[in-house]
Amino acid sequence: MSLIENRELYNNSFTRNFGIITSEEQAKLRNARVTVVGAGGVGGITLIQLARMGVGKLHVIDQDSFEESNLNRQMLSFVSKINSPKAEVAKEILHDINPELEVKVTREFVTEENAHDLLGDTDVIVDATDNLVARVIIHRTAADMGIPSIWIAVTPPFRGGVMCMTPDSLPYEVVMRHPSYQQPLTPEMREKINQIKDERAKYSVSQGALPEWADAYVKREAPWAVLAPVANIVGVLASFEAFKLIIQRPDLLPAVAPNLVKVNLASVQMVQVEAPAEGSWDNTLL
Amino acid sequence: MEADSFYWEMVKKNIGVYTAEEQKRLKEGKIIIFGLGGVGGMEAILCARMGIGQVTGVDPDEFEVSNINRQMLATVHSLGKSKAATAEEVLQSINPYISVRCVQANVDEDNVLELMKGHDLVIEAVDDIPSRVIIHRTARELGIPSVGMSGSPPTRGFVSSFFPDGISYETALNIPGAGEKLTNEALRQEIADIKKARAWHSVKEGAPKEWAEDFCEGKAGWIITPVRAHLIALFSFHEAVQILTGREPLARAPKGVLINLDTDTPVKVTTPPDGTWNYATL
Repeated sequence: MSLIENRELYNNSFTRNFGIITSEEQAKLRNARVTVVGAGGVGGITLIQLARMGVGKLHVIDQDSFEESNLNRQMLSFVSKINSPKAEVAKEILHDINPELEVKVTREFVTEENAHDLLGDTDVIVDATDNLVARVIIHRTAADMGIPSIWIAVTPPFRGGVMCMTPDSLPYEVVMRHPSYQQPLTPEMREKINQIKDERAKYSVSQGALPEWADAYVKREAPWAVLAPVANIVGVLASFEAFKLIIQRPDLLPAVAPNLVKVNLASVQMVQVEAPAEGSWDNTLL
Repeated sequence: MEADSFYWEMVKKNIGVYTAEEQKRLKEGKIIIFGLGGVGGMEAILCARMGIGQVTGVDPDEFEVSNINRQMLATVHSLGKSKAATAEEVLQSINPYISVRCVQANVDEDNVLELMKGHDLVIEAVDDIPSRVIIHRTARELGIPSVGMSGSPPTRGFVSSFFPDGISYETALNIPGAGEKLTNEALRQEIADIKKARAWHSVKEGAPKEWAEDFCEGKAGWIITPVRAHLIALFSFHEAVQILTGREPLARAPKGVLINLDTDTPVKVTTPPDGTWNYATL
């Protein structure tokens, strides 16, 4: 497709955004760079949303390939893509939404060694991983480089959350009361961080998750339970936070830590922006 | 059995939130979705992913470029193709072991009964109000629960679940001619014009005045972004799953899920203060 055809395709693709966003804001989206770590249940829909909004540059970081149990919720997963690398599939699908989109693919796990290289050169970082140690590394690195980062959670049965960290906000590990703040990530510390997820599983039972599931999860006999509606609602809301961080409209502010967009489909307040009473959150309860 | 083991491997992460017994109800469930656009296309995909056993989709249109900003089934590759054929292809590529049938048709009084018969649940995701009325009224006549929605600029939405023994769609939303077939053109136009009143209310909520003028004169489309369309789809679909599994939906009519992303409670279940809704404000 020629450049001119591409330009028309871009303009025609996003006509229905106008009225909600201005052409200046659309231009900001087109010039924006967003890095999404994890192209699974939350990251997949976040990437698709960002592409459909007209964001110009996306960096997808994921080392995994698709498997059958991803199909129940992951918008980039299809039977024909089982065993294909998630980041490569993401690129293919995102190009079919917007052929001029610049998609960078990294098939790696974010570690302390590679984080600065992988996460620089972007305007917003979305942490859509399911590994709590990787999350610490991502938000530490983002803060260090002065780049806003978006945290998400998806928790049984119907809960989730989205929160933005900025260079001026409380750091992630303080907001989440992690034991690791300003500590080296030793094997013992990593173990402590990972235990938070077991505590989250146990607490989920009080919120309506099946007790047999939580027992099995803690024994590593069952996977984290995740439903399509919850994972995708969280991903859509995460993309909206990225949108707000990019367009920077004075009257449309992102939910910056410690303020958190809380999702609970079993509650009358299904989605609510909340400030923690004590100034920070207990991650095991989120 | 390959089909069976694939199905249960595919849905294994649902278990823990829903029981295997509830998942079995989804597997045996028959859903019909009217509209395969911004909201319905997403819901069709969710049906396949969640493991709904039989999915029917109905939509008269083909994909065009301006669908790409929000419609999950719209891609450069699918431009010009019918939404129904595309949906069928995509759903089968998510889950080859469910039964999917999509029909390229415009729902109206003359075909709605034939299309809807035999399903357990109706999902309504069309954009004109007369079609919405026809769909929900027929679902009620057939004794089938139906999930309805609407979306308005800037980022507002409404979702509600209607039951044959509960308040009707027309009553809950104060639409004239409750229970009547929409064969009277004047009544049909009066109902269609509610959307113009919604455009003007949207201006109070922050949409541009010029847009409302253009919309009312038929010169502009309804403003819609991916965030709103997909949130409406996701909350509608959650209602559908709650109903099919035998649980209670969050927004049994007249209760509604109200979405407004410009507030501190972006999504909440609300009971209309006077017992019914003024559709113009939704």
